[in-house]
Formats: sequence, structure tokens, C-alpha cells
Amino acid sequence: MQSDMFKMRLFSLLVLLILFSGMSLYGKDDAKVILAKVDAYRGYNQPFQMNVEVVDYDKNGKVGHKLSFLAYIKDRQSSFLKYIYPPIDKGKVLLMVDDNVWFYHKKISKPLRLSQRQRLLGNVSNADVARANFSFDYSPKIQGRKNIKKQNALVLELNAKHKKVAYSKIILYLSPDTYKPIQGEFYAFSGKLLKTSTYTQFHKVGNSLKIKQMEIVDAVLKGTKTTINYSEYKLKSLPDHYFNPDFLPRIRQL
Amino acid sequence: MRQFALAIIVSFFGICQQVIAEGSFYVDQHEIKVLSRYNDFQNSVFNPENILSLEKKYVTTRYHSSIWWQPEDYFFVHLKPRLKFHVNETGNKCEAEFDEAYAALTPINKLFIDVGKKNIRWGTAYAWNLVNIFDPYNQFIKEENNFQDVVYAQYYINDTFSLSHSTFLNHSDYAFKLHGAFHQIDYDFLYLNQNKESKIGFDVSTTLGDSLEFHAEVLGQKGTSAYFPTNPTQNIYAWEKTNNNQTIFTSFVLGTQYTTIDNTNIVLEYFHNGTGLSNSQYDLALEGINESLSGDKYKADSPWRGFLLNSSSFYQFSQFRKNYLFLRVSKNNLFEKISMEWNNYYSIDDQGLLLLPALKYKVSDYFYIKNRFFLPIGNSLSEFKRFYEKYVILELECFF
Repeated sequence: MQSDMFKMRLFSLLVLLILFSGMSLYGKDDAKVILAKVDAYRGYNQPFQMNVEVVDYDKNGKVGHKLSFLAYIKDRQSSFLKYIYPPIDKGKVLLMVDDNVWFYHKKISKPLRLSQRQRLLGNVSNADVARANFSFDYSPKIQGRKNIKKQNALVLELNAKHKKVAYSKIILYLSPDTYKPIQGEFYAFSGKLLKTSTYTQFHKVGNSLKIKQMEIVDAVLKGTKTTINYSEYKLKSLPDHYFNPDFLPRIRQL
Repeated sequence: MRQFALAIIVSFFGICQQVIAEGSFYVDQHEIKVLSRYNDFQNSVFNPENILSLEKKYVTTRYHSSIWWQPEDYFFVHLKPRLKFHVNETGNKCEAEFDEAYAALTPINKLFIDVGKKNIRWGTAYAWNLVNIFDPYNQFIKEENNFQDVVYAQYYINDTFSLSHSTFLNHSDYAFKLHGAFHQIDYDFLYLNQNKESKIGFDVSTTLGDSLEFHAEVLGQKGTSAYFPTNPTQNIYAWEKTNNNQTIFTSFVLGTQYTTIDNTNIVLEYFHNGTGLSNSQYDLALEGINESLSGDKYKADSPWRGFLLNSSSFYQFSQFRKNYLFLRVSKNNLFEKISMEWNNYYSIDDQGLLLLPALKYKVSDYFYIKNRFFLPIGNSLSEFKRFYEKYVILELECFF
């Protein structure tokens, strides 16, 4: 009899465990779906190109540096940037495949491997421009609701899956019904807040809504601000060999 | 003369095209550079009484543009004309030529063939590229690059592997390269046939963590000679032959690159052995050395004279010692609108130093002012002190 009772309790415990694990699994999937929808505002699930303009402002709000380039994004890991402004930078190409970065400049005339730390995009990290997708590098978790920018926002916490990314943690504040990003906080591996981004403008591209402008406020260099403008999203065929570093000198002709 | 006229016509067309038309023709960059240079000959042992008649002061204005004509997806022509106006104390002259002028064809998917004058570089190092058959000498000293007339074919197998082949139109040299990658390591295997002698090369580059990069180039060649001073303090004119046809002559470059948190970039390279000389080059060099040493002054008709004076007249780095270090420190936005680049060459064997500091001031996105110095330091017998003049350059650059 006691043995039957024990078996019943064990069975109930197992049922509860399965139920709880199912719930937790459901919750995680839900966060993943939400993150995929956030990613859709930043790009496509297929190769595309877009114009990117980066403008740095100093503490007095004066324009410091201005850069623009064509970004060609194949997938989460492979992208390259063709510099178009300022004129001195025309002909430069930055190729990123996984954690590898190569650079080509017509005066050097050969592809050179760079370390990830080398910043060639002003105050913006390569990831801000070339990684159009959070899902690949981060695990999402829903953290409830919070009022932000006078909106009741859904809070999504993203934790880095590996140490090869620029940020250890990202907190995204999203519109609860459409999952449109409102604001993001980006943290270093030391736990320090590096920057805050605000997604200020969206525009319709085909049938979908894409980010048009985001503002980045540097938490370290206080008072400085960077805006990134995205435009002319286009689907583009990008064959594998475009991402061979040896192809860099030929990218200029694309 | 024909090239002169054609370069002028194409340049003019490029300027007009920028303004009036679009389509299969396009111009993607114009560059105007005004360069004023002052040479200091006072301490030159190498050029006594300025017998080379080098210019003490001159101003050069250069205009470059980059013109593309692409009538079909699989075919385009690229022209890069250069107009140059040169003014010195005795007069002025005008030059016009093409830095690049080639046709490019893609007959089948992934195969690219370029024919004409083209700027190509191979290798992973910054200061010297031993494996670069096109021009191994460093880019930081020379005012202008060398371009080659080639048939250059490249086949891209996928995003990792590619095959390249180059045949030179003016002579019998040719080269092959296999490019590949393994995890975070890029590598090239090379076969070069230069002056009818075979060379085997290998280069590699990789990164460690998020701030360190490593690179190396190795070149092995048989039937090649090298000439080096017999001891570190010896006059650079007294060489001995260190290799013969039976041994494999090996040279290499080892380098690393580190980026600090504030985005200062540091490159350090160690260079061992020169690119070597073929037997015929060696014989010519030896003859020249003897001739130079036997006379009070250089003889005008000496075949060696041009080689000896090459460094001074064309600023081309030559390797007369066995071991060199190269250090480069660069930083954009050192101060607001000012960027810095400092290249340094150190000859370990004779303690000669060559300092090349440069500062660039950004007036606007279109205008830049650059100040460069060229400062050889060392004893009077050291390579750098003998072969280079001190000079300072002021440049105004305009891009549009």
C-alpha cells in the first residue's frame, strides 16, 4: 500500500515536472519567435543590400564624422561594406565572415586581415551595421513589462551565446503588440552599459516595415551621439565567392 | 606621346562624364594632390656635389581619376589616367599616362580575366611582400606604385578557395597562387617564375582574440644569390656572396598587428634576408660595385650606377642588410580632425634607422593637408644614411 502511494506521488511529481518543463520550453520558444520578429525589422531572411549612413555628433550637437556605404548582407555571418562617402574612402571594402574581418583599400591593393577591434566605421561597431540579426548570437528571455518613452514596453533580455560578439547582454524594449523595437541597451562583458539605442523611424519596404533610423547614445563618451540611417533595402543575389577574401579587389566593380 | 594624348583625352572625358551622363560609363573618384617636397642634400655622402642633379625643391600637382565602362555584365574596361605637372627651380614639365588600363572579362561564372596594365599585390605583410612577384618593395616609402602589364586570371571555387595566374606581357615571368582558408587562418601557396628561376612561396595570416593579428611570408628559391656585408659595421659597398646555386635561399617576414582599446593600431614586422639576386643580376651587381669602388665618382655609363642610385632617385627600398624591423603606429582622430601615421624601419645589422612620421589634418570631407617627414638616422656607413636623403613633404589632397 505504502509502495503504491509512493508510486502515485512519484508519478504526480513526474507529471508536474513535464508540465513545468513544457511551460518553460513554451516560454523560451515564444521569446525566440518575438526575437525573429524584431530581426525582421532589421533585414531579411535572404541576401539583401541597403544604404547605410552613419553620422557622429559631438557634445555640442555638431556633426563630427559622416560615413556612408553600401552594405551587402548575405546571412547572419557573411556581409561586406562598400564605402561611398567621404570621397577619400571610395574604393574601400570591409568584409566580415563569422568572426573574420578583412579590409581592402586601393592604395594597398591587397586584402588585409584585421582584428575585430579595429574600428573603421567611426563610433559604430561592425555588428551594428553588418549583423542584421540578433537571433544567431543571442538567447532571448522575456523579462516582463516596463514603461519606456511613455509606452508600456515588453522587455526582452538577450544574452550572448558566445564571447565572439560585441555585447554580452542586450535589453530590448519592444512594442507589445507588433514587437517593433523602441529602445535597446547594450552591455559589455564587464557588465558596463556601453550604449543606448533608440529606434526613431521606420519605413515601409515592399510589404514589410523596416528600421529607417536609429540613434545611438554612447554611455562611455557621454554627450556624444550617432545616428544610423538605413535606406534602399533591396533583395540581392550574393554568390558564395563574393565572400572569398581574394575577391575583395573585385567587389568595387559590383 | 600617344599615351600622353590619350590620357589627357580620357581625363577630360572623365571630368565631363561626371557631370553630364550616366549609364555604362561612370567615374567613381577624382583625386588632386599638390605635393611640395624639400630635399636636404647637405650631409649626403652618396651624392657628392649633387652629381645626380637631384632637385632640391619641387612642386608636383597630380590628378587621378577612375573611369569604368561596363557595356555588359561580363565585360568592362577600367582606365585610371594620371596627369602630372612638375615644377622645380629650373623649369616645369607635364606628364600624362595611365596608372591602370585594362579590360576585364568574365567568360564563365566565377572566372575573371584581366588584360592590360593593372595594380596587383600578393602577400600578407605591410612593409615588404616577398611573395609579391609584381613589386615586393614596400608601399610606405615610394611616392608612386609600379603597375604591370599582365594577363591576370582568377577562378573562385567558393568562399574559401581560389586560383590565380599571372603572365607578364613584357617578359617571361609568370606566377600561380592557390588561396585557401582553414578556420581563422588564411593561406596562400605560390609558385613564381622570375628571370627563368623558380621560387616557392607561402604566406599565412590569422587572428587571436579580438585585438591581435599575425602574418608571415616565406620564400624559397634555388639558383639565387644574396649579397651582404661581411660584418655589421662594414661599408655597404663591400659585399660577399653568401649563397650559391646548390643551396636553397630562404627569406621570410614575420609580423603582428595589435589594436588598443582606443583604436591605436600597431604593426611590427621582422624581415630576414632580401629577395636575392639571380646569377645574372648578381654578376651585374658585382661588376657595378667594383666599378663604383675603383673611380672617384660614379661613371655615367656604369650599368651599376642606376642600381646604386635607385634608392635616392626613386625612393625604392633596397635590402643591403640581413635583418630589419618595421614598426608602424597609426591612429585616426589622434586629436579632432588630426590623424597620425608613423612608419619606422630599423636595420638591426648596422643600427640604421629610417623614421617616416606623418600627420594628416582634415579640413573637410573633401580636403586634407598632410605633412610627411623622411628622416634617415645612423652612422655615415649605414644603409639608410647613405642611400636616402632627408626630406619633408607638404601635401594638399582633394577628393571628389
